[in-house]
Parts: sequence; structure tokens; C-alpha cells
Amino acid sequence: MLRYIVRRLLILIPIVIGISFIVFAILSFTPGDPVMNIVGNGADEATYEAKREELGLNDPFLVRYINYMKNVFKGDLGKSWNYDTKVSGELGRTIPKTLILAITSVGLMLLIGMPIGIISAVKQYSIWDNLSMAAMLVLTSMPLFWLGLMLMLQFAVNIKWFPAAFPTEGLGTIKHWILPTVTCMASMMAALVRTTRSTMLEVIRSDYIRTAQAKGATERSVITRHALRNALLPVVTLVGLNFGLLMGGALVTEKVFGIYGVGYLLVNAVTSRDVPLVMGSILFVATCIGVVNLFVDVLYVYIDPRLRSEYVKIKIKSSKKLQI
Amino acid sequence: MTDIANSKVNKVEIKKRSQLKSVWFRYKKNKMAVAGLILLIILFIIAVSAPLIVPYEKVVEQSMKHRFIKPSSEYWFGTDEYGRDMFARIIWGARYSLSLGVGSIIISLIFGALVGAVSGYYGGRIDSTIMRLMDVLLAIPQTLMAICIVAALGQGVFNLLVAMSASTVPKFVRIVRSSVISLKGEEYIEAARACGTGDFRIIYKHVLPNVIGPIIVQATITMALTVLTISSLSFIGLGVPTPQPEWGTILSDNKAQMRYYPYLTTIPGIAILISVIAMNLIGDGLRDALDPKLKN
Repeated sequence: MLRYIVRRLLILIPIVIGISFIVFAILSFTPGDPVMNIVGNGADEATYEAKREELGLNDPFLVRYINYMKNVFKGDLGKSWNYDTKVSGELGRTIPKTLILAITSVGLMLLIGMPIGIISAVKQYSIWDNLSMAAMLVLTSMPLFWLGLMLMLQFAVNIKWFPAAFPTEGLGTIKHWILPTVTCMASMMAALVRTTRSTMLEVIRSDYIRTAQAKGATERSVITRHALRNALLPVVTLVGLNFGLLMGGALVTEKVFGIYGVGYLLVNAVTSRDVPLVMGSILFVATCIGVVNLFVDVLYVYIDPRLRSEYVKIKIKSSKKLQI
Repeated sequence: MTDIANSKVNKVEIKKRSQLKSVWFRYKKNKMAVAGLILLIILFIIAVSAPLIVPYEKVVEQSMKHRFIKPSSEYWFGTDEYGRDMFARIIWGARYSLSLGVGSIIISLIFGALVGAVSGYYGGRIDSTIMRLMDVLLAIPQTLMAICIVAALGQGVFNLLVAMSASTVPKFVRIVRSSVISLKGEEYIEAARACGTGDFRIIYKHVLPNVIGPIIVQATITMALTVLTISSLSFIGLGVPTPQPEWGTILSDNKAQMRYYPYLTTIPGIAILISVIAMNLIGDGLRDALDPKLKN
């Protein structure tokens, strides 16, 4: 298992490098002058050239990329062009907020979505099932930012339960997080409920569930002990995928509620052509997605012992090959 | 002799039609899916015939006298802060939102199907090179990718189209490739090859028509997502630039007035909601109709 994890982590490196290369290329080869943004339109030739030289923009593309990556491997993400602050510092300020948003919304999603999905499957075609499916359809079809705005209008502006604006400094209080969490959770939850429902439906019809029922196990224990565990795999994939994506910041949610998270940072950096800042955020996001995917794969083995035996098979096969 | 040949042709035609018919028959049974289809057709008719419903001048015509009029019999959806008729903007917005959604899906479908089919059909080094590239592209979240491209190319309808298509291509490549690989070993492909048919013709004539089912389903569902993403991009300020009436742009323009004139943000939101619901319903209906096994 450990060897598997190490191998996967090693595979992650070229993928992250590939992503960074593509983004660096997009930012470098497109029209527009980042230096002009920094020094301003009125600057004279000399300051302009000096700034260009300072940022290393006179070097060829590949040299710039390699220099950047060299520094990254030394642990230096560089300085933001626009703010003149350290990229690692900017990330350090934004990551906690994104992390809070990701954890709370994924947690809440599981807490609410799983039971809805399970009940929908167990009572298929009941009023409850139809209602929840209709609600989920509406949730997936709704633009997230619109839902955020509507929630804000209703709960923050009209009845003033929650504050509308997020504090610029610090992490705010629980009240600040409720509306963003609900908004962020909404669209993911629809996918979760549908997946849970359809996999549960498949599992419920299988022979071993009938056997368990025939043995006289209670409905509750059949569902929780036999069915749920087998229906969990696709759900884990989905949760992992969403969590990974959220680490890129829930762009829209952060924008609507004015939370200065990784997504907000990234959008600002991209629009102002702040290459070091974009690259730093992208590296962070890509690494997070990779690590979360790995974690999900490892989790599979713990949830489904059948997969463990497959690892053993692979091991036997590979060792046989070596002997030959 | 010709009779026999003719009857053969007829038979093939009848078979083809019956397969399509049976899909339609199964689709028809799903009432929600039919409702979605009708809804989308109506929306498309509105989008196509927008100039007949309201002239474009109404969309951009500003009038300070008629600011913030609540929805009434004269202004069905009210007016915004510049006195522009919201009804006209929403109707014309259908053009932008729907055509961008459909356009980007068609472009990415064509590219995705070509690249995916080549990758899956030839296998080997070509396949692994293409797929590693796609892995890297897929590892970047779609919205992020679109934002990067739009920011690089600059704001505008055409650039948005490019960004949305480019960011959905990897998804289609993957789906087409895996379907092609599962077909590659079939006898009829081998038979075609034995007849000396060229690779391109085999892909185009024999492979693609057989993998079209899952691709169409994915395309409708992705189209729904694309419409949502485009409106989000417009909201962030990277989508359709502001005087043009895309639904997301209209929402973004009016968010400052949300507090006092809620209809300005509610109506475009509902327009997006309805069109995306219609697409999702069609997608679900098609999936059930094309693959009855999947239906629970």
C-alpha cells in the first residue's frame, strides 16, 4: 500500500508540472503587456525597461519557465507583480478561508444529502422521492451566483438574520459562514443525492440484500450495514472530486459573498496578468486535486475489501514478471 | 437482380428507422423529458424569432424618464436603471445564452469526437500522448480553464465561445475514446478493415455512429452546465461584455439594485433556470431512452 501511495505521489509531479507549463504558456503567449499594468501608462521608457528587466521578461519563454520552476523547487513562489508581496503570503491568507468553506460545505452536504438519497432510494416513487428529485433538479439547474444573491437578499437584506458582507480581515463568525456554505453546497448536493439514490437502488436489488432480509435482519440494519457500505464507492468518488474542485476556491460563491479565498485571488490575478500569483495558486490547486484523488483511491480499499485483493493480485503479477 | 438489391436497401432503411423510432418511443413515455423538449423548442423559437418579437433598438435604447418601472402591462418585465426594457433584453438574451451554449458544445463535440476516435482507434503511442495531455487538461477545473483563456484572449462573445469549447473538449475526448476502444474488437470493424476500407472511413462510417448514444447524452448534460458556466463567467465580469444582453450579464449589471428592485435579478435568473432545467430533463430522458438498462 505504501509503495502504491509513493508511486502515485511521484506520478503527481509530472502532472502538476504539465499544468503549470500550460498555464505559463497561456499567460506568456497571449497579447497584452503586463508591465504596462504595473508601471502605468505615463511611465517613461527607462522605468518601463528597468521593470521589464527586473521581472525577467526579456528572457525567452523557456528560460523564464525553467527559472520559475527552479525557484519553486527551492520553495520560493516568487513575489506578486501587482502587490509586491510574497505569493506564499497571499496564499497563506486565502487558503484558510477556502479550506473552511470547502470543509463546512462538503460536511453539510454529506449530512443532508446522504439521508435524502438513501430515503429516496428505499421509498422509490413515493411522494418523498418525487419531491426530492424535483428539488434536486431545480438545484442543479440554478446558477450558483443567483442562488447566493437570492439567499443574501432574503436572509441578509430582508430579514437580517445573517450579515451580508464578509469582514475583510480575519475569518468572521459562524453567522458569516452560513449563507456561503449553503450556496456552495447546493449544486454539489444535487449530484450527491442522485448518485446515492441510483447506487442504492442498484444495491438494494442485489441477491445479498435479499439474503440478508431472508435471514430476518431488520430493515434498518440491512440498509445501514449491508446496502450503504456497498453503495458508498461512487459517493466517495463524488465527494473527493468536489472537495478537490473546492480547493480551487468556489470562485462564484467567494465572489458573491466577498470572501477573499483562493478562487477570488486567482480570478483577480488572472484578470490583472499577475503571473507569479496565478502560477502559485494554480500549483496549489493542482496539487490539492491530485492529493485528494489519491486519498479517495486509498479510501476505496478501506471501504471495499474486494479491492484489497486486487492490489494483491497486481502485486503477484508484477513479482511473477520480475522472476521471468 | 435489381429487385433483390432494392429490397435489401429497403430492409436496411426500415431497420434504421425502427431503431430511431424505438428510442423515440421510449423517450415519449417519459413525460418530464417531453416537457423539457417542448420547453427548449419554445426557447429556441423565441431566440430565433427575437427580431420579430421586439426590435433590437429596444434592447439598448436608454431613457432616463423610464427608469426602474416595475413590471406592468406596458413593460412586462419592467425597466432597469438606464430605462432599458427588460422584456426585450431577456428575449434577446435567449439568443446569446442559448447560441453560446449550443455553439460551444457543437465545436467541442466535433473536436472531441475526432481526437477521441483517433486516439482510441489507433492506440499505442498516439493514444498515450493524447491521453496524457487530456489528463493534464482535465486536472484543471473547467471554470478555471475558461477564465484563464478568456483573460488571455480578452473579453468578447467569440473568445468566450473558444474558451468554453476548449475547456469541454477533454471530457468528450475521454468519452469517445473509451467507447471506441470497447468497439474496436467487434467483428464488423474487422470486416470493414478486411474489405480494405480506409481508417478514416471506418472511423467516420462505422465507429462514430455506434458510439453516438452516450455522446449525445453527455452533450445535452454538458450543454446545461455550459449555459450555467457562461452565465457565471458573465457574472464575474469575464463573459459577454455589458451592453449585450446575455442573461448572466443582465444579472451582473443589476445586482447593485437587487435590494430595491428585486425583479431585476429574479427574472433573468428564472430565465437561466428554466432553460437549464429543460436541458437537464432532455439529457435524463435521452439517457433512459438510449440505454433502458440504466433506468431504475
